[in-house]
Order: sequence, then C-alpha cells, then structure tokens
Amino acid sequence: MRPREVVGSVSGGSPERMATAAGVLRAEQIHRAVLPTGLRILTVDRPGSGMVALHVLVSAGSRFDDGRPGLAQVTAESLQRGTRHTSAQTLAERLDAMGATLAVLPGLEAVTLAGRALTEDFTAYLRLAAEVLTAPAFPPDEVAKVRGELLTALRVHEMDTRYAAERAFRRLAFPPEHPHAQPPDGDAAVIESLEGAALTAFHQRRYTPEETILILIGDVRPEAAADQVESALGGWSRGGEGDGAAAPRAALEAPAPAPGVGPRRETTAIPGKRQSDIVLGGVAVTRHDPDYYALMLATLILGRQGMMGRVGHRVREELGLAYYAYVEARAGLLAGPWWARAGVNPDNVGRAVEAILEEAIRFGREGPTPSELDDARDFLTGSLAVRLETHAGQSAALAEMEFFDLGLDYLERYPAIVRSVSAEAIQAAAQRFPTQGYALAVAGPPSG
Amino acid sequence: MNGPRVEHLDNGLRMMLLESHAAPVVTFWIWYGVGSRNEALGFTGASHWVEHMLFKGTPDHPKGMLTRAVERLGGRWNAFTSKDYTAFHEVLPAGHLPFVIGLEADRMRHTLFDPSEVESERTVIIAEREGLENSPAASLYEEVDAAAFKVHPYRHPVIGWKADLRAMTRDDLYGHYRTYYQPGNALIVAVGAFQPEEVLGQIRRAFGEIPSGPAIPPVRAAEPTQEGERRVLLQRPGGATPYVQMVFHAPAASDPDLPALLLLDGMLSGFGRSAAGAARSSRLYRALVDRGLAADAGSAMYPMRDPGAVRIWATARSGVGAAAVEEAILEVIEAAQHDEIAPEEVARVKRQARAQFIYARDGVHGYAGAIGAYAMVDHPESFFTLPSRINAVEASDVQRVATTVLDESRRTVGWYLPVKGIAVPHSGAAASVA
Repeated sequence: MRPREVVGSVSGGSPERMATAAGVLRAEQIHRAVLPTGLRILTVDRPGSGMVALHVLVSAGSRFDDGRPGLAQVTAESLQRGTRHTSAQTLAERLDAMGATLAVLPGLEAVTLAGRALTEDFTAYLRLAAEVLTAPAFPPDEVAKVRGELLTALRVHEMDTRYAAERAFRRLAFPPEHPHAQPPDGDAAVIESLEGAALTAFHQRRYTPEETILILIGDVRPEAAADQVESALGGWSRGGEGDGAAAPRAALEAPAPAPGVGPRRETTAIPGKRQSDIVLGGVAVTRHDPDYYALMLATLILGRQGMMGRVGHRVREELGLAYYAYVEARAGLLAGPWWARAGVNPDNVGRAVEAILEEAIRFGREGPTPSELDDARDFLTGSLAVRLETHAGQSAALAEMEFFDLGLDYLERYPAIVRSVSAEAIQAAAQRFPTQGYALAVAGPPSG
Repeated sequence: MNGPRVEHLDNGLRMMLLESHAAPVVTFWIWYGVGSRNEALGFTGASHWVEHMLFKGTPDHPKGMLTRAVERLGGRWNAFTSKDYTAFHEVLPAGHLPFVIGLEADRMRHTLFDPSEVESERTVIIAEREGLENSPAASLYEEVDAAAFKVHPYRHPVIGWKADLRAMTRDDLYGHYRTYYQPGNALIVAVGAFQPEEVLGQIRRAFGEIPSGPAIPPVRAAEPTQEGERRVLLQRPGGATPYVQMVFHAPAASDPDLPALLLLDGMLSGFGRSAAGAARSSRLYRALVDRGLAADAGSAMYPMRDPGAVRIWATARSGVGAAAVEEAILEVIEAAQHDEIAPEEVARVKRQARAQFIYARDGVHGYAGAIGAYAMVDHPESFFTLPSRINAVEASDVQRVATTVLDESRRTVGWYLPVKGIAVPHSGAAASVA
C-alpha cells in the first residue's frame, strides 16, 4: 500500500527488461576482479558523489525452489532478520543510523541485494552487507514474522486483478514443472511449512561466492574497494552446488512449453473490482538466443515505443479503451513470458483482445516501417547516457553484463549490435508472437 | 554543485537553473501551479485531464511526433498531476535542451483540444480511474481525504470523481488550460550539463514573447478547525485483509514547523521512506510489523501549499483485525507525545536526512523533481535551505509537533474491511474471444 496520490500521464508501460544500458561506460572504466573463492567483483569509480551503491546478485532465485515454491523467497526475505553475530534489531539500527539502505529483491533466476551508503560509512556498511549475505541465522521468531508478511502479501495479490491474470497466464503458457509456471512468491501451504532448517540448507546450497556477483559504484577507489571486499568476504567459503566460478552461462534447459495449437483461456472472477486486466501472449527467448535482439526490437515497436507502441496506439489512443496497454518480453537464462497486457472496462475485454491480436498479426505480416526501425534504433542507442546516469542505472547494467557473460566491452558494442538487426529479422521475430496458440488470462469482476 | 541560478522573465516565468556535469545528461521540468486544489465540484479531474491533453500535440508539434522526437534523441518524458501542481519533465543526453524548451513553450499556449481527442481521452481516464478503484487501499485513501477535508478542495481526488469525468466538456478543459497555463503560473527547473547563461537565453527566446495571462483565480477555501475525530468505513469485496489509514491536519509547507514535522515523520517510519516502507528501526515498524500486527506500515508528511496532512497507514497481517492495528498506531502516537524523545533518536533521523539529501543528487532528473516539489509549495529555494532547517530542530520541537498535530481531535481514521468473496478461475476455449 502506497497512498501517494500522484497521477501520471504516459505511465502504465512496464520497465523494459530486455534492453540494457550502454555507451558511456567503457570497458576500461570497469574494474573487474575474481577472488580465489570465485566471487566476482566489479567496481566503477564516481569521484565526488559522496555515496556508494552496492548491488549483489546471487544465483538463488525461485527457479531453485525445487518443488517447494516460496523457498527461495522466504530465504531471501529472512537474510536481514538476524545473523550469527547480530540481531535483527541491531542490524536495523546500524543501517538506519548510517542512513543507509539495503533492499532484498527476490527474483526467478537471481536474488538481488541493493542499497546505498554514504562514502564515509562504506567500510561499516560493506561489513554489514557481507554479514547479511554470508551469515544469516534464520532465528525462528524472525522467520515466523517473514512467513506472516509474505502470506499476507500473497493473499493481497490473489485479490489483485493484474497479479491474478499474470498467475493464470503463467499456468497456461508454461508446463507445470517450468520455473516460469508461477510467480516467484510461491505457494501459501509451502510458505507456512518453511522452518529455519530448510532456509539454512537452501542458503548453504545456493549462497556461495562462485554464484555471486558484487558490484560497487561510487565515490570509492576501485583498489580500495576490492581490498575491503576481500577483507569482508574473502573468508566466505566455496560450497553448494555452484555452476562453476565465472563459467559462461549457457541457456538453461527447461521443460518446453506446450505447443500452442489453439488459444488457451482462463478467466478469474474477483468480486468488488471495476476493471479487468488482460494478459495475452506466449513465451519469449533466452538472453543468449541468436534472435534475442530481433525479438527485443519487435517488442519495442509492437508495444513500447512512443505511446506504448502499435498496441498502445491502437488500444489507448485510437480506441480509448485502456490507460495502459503494452507488450513486454522477459529473457533470462530461461525464456520468460512474452505478453501484451492491458487494463480495460469489463465490457471492453473482447474488443481489446481483438485489437491486440490484429496489431500483432499486422506487424508480423508487414514488419516494421523504415521510420519505426530508425526510431527504435535511435532510442536504444541514444538513451544510453540517460540509463547510465545514476549509480543504480550503472549497477543494473553491470549486473546484466556479468550475469549473462556479455563482456566488459558490451556497452561499447551495443550500438553496433542494435544497428545490425535487420527489418526482416524483426519481422520474423514479430511473427513468433502467438496469434493462434496464445495464452489469454483475464481477471476482473464477475460478469453479469 | 553550487546553488541554482534563480531568474524570471518579464512575463512572470520563473526558473531555476543548476549546472551539473556529473553525467552528460540534462533534465528540463516545467511546473504549473494547478492541480485538484484549483478544481470545483463538477469539474474535478480537469487538471489531470488537461495534463493528458498536452500530449495530443500542437499545430507545430503534431501528436505522434512528440514522443517519437524525444525518444529519438535518446530521451524520456512524462508528466504528473498532484493536488497542488502539474509537472512535465524530460531527461535526455546533453545538448538537446533547445528542442524540449521549444516544445514546452509551444504546448504552453498552442495545445490542440480536438473534440474527438477529448472524447477518446475521457474513456482512457475513466479506465485509469477504474484501475485505481480495483485497489481497496486507493479507494480508502479517497474516502479518508474526503472526510478529513470538508471544505478545502484537497478533499477531491486528483483523478476526479467519476461523474465529473463523464460530464466534463471540451470547453471546460480548454478554459482550464487557458486560465492556468501561462508564464506567470509556471516554474522551470533545469539541471544538468549546460551553461546556465546559454539556457537562460534559450528560455528567453522560446517563452519571452508569451503574454502573461489573466490573474489566477485564488483558492479561497480554508479548512475549518476539526473538532473531534472523524471515522470512515469502507466495506466491499475485492480485498484480502484490513487496511487502516489515518490523516491528521498539518500546517502548510511554508510553516516554520515543517522541518520538525519531517523529522517526526522520519521518527515514525524513517526519513524520506514513504515509498519504500518503514525503516526497520522506526517506531511504526517496531510497533506494527515487528510485533506481527501488520504486513507493512508507513507514514508521510508531504509538503503542501495549503495546510495539508500527516498520513499514517498499515496493512493488517492476515488474521489481525483493524482495531488491533489502530490501537498499536495510537500507542506509537501517544509515546511520541508523552515519553521523552531521546536525542540519539533525533540524531539518527537527522543523519538519515543528511544521507537522503546526498542521494537526491544522484541523477539530475530526480534532483530537479525534488527541487521543484518544494519550490512549488514554498519559497523557490526552500529545498536548498531544508538541510540546515532540519539540523536546527531539537527533540523538544519534534515532541511539540507530535502533540499539536497528531491530536486526536484533528484526526480522521479510515478502515477498509474486506467483505467475503473469493477469486474463482474459469477455463474455456478462447476461439470466440472476438
């Protein structure tokens, strides 16, 4: 709940997960080191900012739940609730006394710990973050609180039309054993059953130096930063079931989605709602797929560029049916969802679905116009400076580069990569958006 | 980074220009002193709707080319409307300011209000409103404000009441636009890699010839003193757990007690944390989340042009009733009023404030947003003097405002209670969706 009343205009589109920042951050500005334990450290010096941003990526997301949906999330959320040396309360007081932040963001493939501190507090802050990462104690009373918070959040989500539609979409688009078949926040019965021992075991298995990338951006010299990281984390031992230190990450094998011969549809009725949320689409590609960039550009043109692309133009601007109507693709080590999403009056669901499908079919048939292609290329390459402006923007870009093994010069190569994608390749990618065998999930008020 | 250069043109347009070369990026914001504060019943939502219309183009910058042009330069743009103001903002690689300056000057006076575009946007905005109505927490917010303010237009939601959105005419909107979109009612905030002298010249050339418009209609309404608690109950299906929200009347941003109120808010939930959830060492977190009563809790003291509000909210944990959550919040308030506040706690919140002011400079776009949000409701340089004003606050000041502002006779308490109703999935062939 966030009762801040500010109403936006163009918003409603989602953050593009596939396009990444590039351009003004060159390989020689990025200092990369690998500790003997396999921990990878990337730093960028930003003298004078007065602050340091920390971004830690651990390959410990919900895809490692291993039949217990919610395990990775409860583990991640419990990291800050007490360590072997410091109670939850003392941890909170120390962080807050510095005015520092440390957020845990559980995801499907990785867990992110992200925060910032003033430069003068950097050493103490890094020590605390290292403790949270490597030595959580999972005290029973604290874990019980985390379970209660997550169960409440899960129940709130179940009554949320956007979330309910997404959940149903995942069930329709992915086979049940696929990690994308449900959102990372798990299953209520599993969450209720999780005790400290299960979390400790998961932590030992997945939170290891060879599975961790640590990024520091800010007002601290790279050599000094590396020394401090080594001092705080050098003793963190290898172990677990690592994929191997700094090994190039091949795309993962995952159960293939069921071939869509015809549309699969699910409607969820939630009393008390005024709007229906629609999720329509299929499965994207992996981050390493040869067609990744073509699919990313196709998605941009179909559902993001300008006023949410062709889909937004038609559904919002021409038909006036929705405040938000966009297309998004998620590409990681696993191919994630590729969906069009819109929120409309319940009476307009059919019209909106029809319009989205028509736009997807037309785009597949015609491909991008020359000006659409120029717009997309210019935007992706031109927006590098803006995307890399903040500490957090640089951290996110470096995390993606390292996690997907794209190389330190990736941001320099990125404009050429984007410009090399042809109109034909984009059209071919657009044709892969399912317009026959799609999954369609709608959540809104009961009809009639 | 030094202080901003503050200038104004003869037509009344004010500007704050701040040079910063931390990144090769510039941001340009234009703020208009119009929001739901300036709306009468029957016309609520006009400011937000006008904001949408400014994306519909002008004769020189037709619809469709606007966003495209900004994006091709590698930039982003957007806008938002609040109770006090409407802001349009761009962020883009250095060197492209002249384009957006020209664009903003053009749409200040020449936005098209094509009747068919007005109609199309009516349903878009109703859809935006219905999306908000899906959220019990957002609906409760609306109910609580409508009860807390019985006279002042802060009682209206920014997006507008639905009946007004259905009835508004093109001419209502155009009149609103012509009244409030004029140089004397606007403030430019630009931050980034530029030479202020050069940008001043560009602004003068683009905006200098725009005449000052008619006088801005004053907002005469003043909220009478509240004498006794008000309570609101929202009951409907569609939610999973109770929500509790409280609103206490608070002074305007220009009041000398604003810094003490910001520190009180920081003591309750962490300084500047309203969007991120309460800091774990804060009083609300410890009393509500840590004790297992709430899944989240928070507070906010937004600086407002007229006397506004301190807000406190919590989401009850599954199985916990609204009454228990409310009682715990009231205990936190009573402790702030009656138990001595340790100087160390105030020092901790001040330290959070100091850190937040340093973090605020990370990124020109957010920085300009913070500068403008204060400048629009107080003195133009109020954001820059805030750190020293906060430093001057003592524990006794925080306790004094806790006692006067968080008084029970000035509060409005809202509960959302879910009515039973469960989500039911249905499967079926989608062959006939069209």
